[in-house]
Amino acid sequence: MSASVSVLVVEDEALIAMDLQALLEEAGYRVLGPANSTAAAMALLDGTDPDVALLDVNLGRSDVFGVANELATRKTKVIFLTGHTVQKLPHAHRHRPLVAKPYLPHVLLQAVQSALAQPEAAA
Amino acid sequence: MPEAAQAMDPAPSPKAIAAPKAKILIVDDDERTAMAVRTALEELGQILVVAHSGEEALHRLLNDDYAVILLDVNMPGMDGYEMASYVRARRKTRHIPIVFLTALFRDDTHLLQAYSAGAVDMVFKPVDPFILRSKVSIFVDLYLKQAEIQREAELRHRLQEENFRVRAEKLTAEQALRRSQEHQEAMERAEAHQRTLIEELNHRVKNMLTVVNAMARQTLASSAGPEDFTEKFVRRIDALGRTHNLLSREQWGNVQLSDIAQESLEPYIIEDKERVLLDGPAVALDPKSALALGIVFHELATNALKHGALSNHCGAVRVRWNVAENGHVALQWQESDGPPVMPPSRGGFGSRLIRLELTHELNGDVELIYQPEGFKLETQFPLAGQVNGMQVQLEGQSWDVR
Repeated sequence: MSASVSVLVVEDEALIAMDLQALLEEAGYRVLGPANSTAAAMALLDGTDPDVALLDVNLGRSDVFGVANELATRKTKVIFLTGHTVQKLPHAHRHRPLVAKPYLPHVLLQAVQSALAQPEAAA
Repeated sequence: MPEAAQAMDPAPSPKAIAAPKAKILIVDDDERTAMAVRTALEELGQILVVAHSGEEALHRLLNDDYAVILLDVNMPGMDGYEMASYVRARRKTRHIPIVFLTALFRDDTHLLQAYSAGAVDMVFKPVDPFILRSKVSIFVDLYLKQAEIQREAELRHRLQEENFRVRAEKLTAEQALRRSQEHQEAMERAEAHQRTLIEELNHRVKNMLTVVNAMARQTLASSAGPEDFTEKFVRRIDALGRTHNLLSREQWGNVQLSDIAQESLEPYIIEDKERVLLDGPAVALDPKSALALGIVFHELATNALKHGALSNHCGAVRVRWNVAENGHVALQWQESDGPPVMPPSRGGFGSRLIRLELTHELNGDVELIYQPEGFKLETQFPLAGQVNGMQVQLEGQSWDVR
């Protein structure tokens, strides 16, 4: 796995963020973050387009869709991570891949690989 | 008007009622006169009833109402005057006009007696059919008009009552409908609330399972073997459970910082309370911050027990906190009188977790200081938006809840 493949992780739960980072780094990805809020994620995205973004939907009493909307204008592939169902996603993002919590490591990594394999125009 | 009354339906219309007929009572002991009167009146088309004595006539009057009584004055037994006095005396018959039939001389005394007995008119025998008919027809018309007026009044009264009844029924039905709608709405609100609660519960359970998975994987990565893993993992889950208990007691509202410290450190201070001192003002924390701080206290205590001030018999831990002017909580964990402090060669999972909980969950700054006299942790974190329990959190969009 090329170290140049970068994955933005947005997850406010410290333990889950730590786990995601460890799983992705072990798989050879470069992790951007983890960010715990939309503001922190936006700061990380300043001047950088990560290849993939793994976005936890609930961020405290806010949500991650601000980040998702921003990434929709870029080449970054978005994957949502949530304990909710796909019906809870806004229409604009319902076609995007979703990894359900609690996740299995290989399912998560497969989702990242599949997202990377998608052609550019998918966004 | 018994006939008219019987003909009335519950919802009558004026045309549906057959035109009532008037009853005429002919009282004469002489069959020939009675027949003559009868014949004379037949073409009026009314109901003619003949009685041959005063007694029989009174009997007839008991049951039916009459438009007019044609009364023979001179009868054996009860004569016309006596019979008339009974008719006048009785309330139910008092209004019936009496026309006397008489063959007596038309002298003033006789007339006076007749009128004072209640006669309204006199017809002299032998009866002239034309005169009799025209006189009787006046009373018949009068009776029928009165009957019609009464009938119309009754009809109006019935219609009015019907109208009232229908309106009352409508009102009752409307009230019942409104009550049923209100009940329905309340049910729907309760169901929607329940759905939201279930969704929220579902989400929390999934999140907690994810945390437990992450805890297991990360604990495993830093464990020496299965026994070490089990010990560390079970204790970490126990610590999470303790903070959850506290939050459940407060119905997922704010909890006191001192309570979180007490709850998280309880397994370590139960033997000797003097060795762990908690010192700070009341600070209310939201559930998310409380859970993070619970993990931090657990990791600090585990570390102190293994390597630090709680690993010997005389070491002590002092936890102090206060609220700074900018509203941030400043918290210090200071160990003393423990074995000599050795900075860890590489950041273990415990210290990484402490750092991440304080920076990532609590948005704070943290410093871990390995001083020779004792390990020290200093942190500052802002107080997150306070909540008043699950209800408040549930009022927002589904994504607004944790």
